[in-house]
Amino acid sequence: VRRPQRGAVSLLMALLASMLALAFGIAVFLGAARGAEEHAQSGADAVAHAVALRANALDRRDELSIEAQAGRWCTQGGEADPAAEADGELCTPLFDEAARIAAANDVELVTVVVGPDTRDLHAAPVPGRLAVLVVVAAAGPAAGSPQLCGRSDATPLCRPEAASAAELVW
Amino acid sequence: VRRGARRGQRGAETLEFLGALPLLALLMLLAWQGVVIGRERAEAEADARAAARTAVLCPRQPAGPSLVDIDPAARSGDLRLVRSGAPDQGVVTATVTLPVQAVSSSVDPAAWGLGPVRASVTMRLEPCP
Repeated sequence: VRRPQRGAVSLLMALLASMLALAFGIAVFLGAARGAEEHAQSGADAVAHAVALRANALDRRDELSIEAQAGRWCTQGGEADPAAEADGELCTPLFDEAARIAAANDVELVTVVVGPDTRDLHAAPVPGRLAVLVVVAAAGPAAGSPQLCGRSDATPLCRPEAASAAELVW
Repeated sequence: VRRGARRGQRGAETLEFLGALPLLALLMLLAWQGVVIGRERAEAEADARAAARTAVLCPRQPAGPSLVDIDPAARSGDLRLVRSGAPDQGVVTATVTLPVQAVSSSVDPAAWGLGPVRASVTMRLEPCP
């Protein structure tokens, strides 16, 4: 009569120990996911900042600003409309800068948009401020697991995304 | 005799339970240590981002900000700022290393290969007027 009870105590202890070990693993895993989210946000901030700086230093900055106010933006990634795109020569340096800083921060570019600041829209084409919007993705702690992560699974565990906007005083 | 034997067995079970308690306590500490590691990692990322944001500004301090300037609570960590690249395309990389705080003297995160945590952020330097 006593033996099964002793087994039950051992089983309970083993179960409790397993649960605590599992809790440790989950805590580390979730902590890594939180870190990946922060990493994505850092990357997004850095890319948006760099693109805004590059846009302000363009030789044809005024031209880009007027193009943007006319509805022709610089858009990379997402569902860009070719008819609403600015001249490629104007946009290429901005996309190159975005790629350079994204690579330096070990994040993947999802979307880069450079458009006008709506407060500077006028009837006449006058250069104004340029606003930058960036979305990037970082590798989450479960990124290598095909069971947990699909190809486009933008969850904190697999591929956390972060957005950032920047605009420099012109 | 049988009643005495049963009492002995009950005592043995209690002793077994008491013997396993330290193991359970250690596992609970480990679980809590996992939470602390996660928090430290997020903290390192946030500190690196804040340090990079400060270091890109003009006028820049020659030595850059210290980690305590960025995060007064991070007294035992380390911040390294590395500037590189051409003058008009220069970048600064802020790397923050934070030791993982042990939740108990019986748990050493470094011995378990769980620390320190490190985070890096690279930002473009702003031009000086």
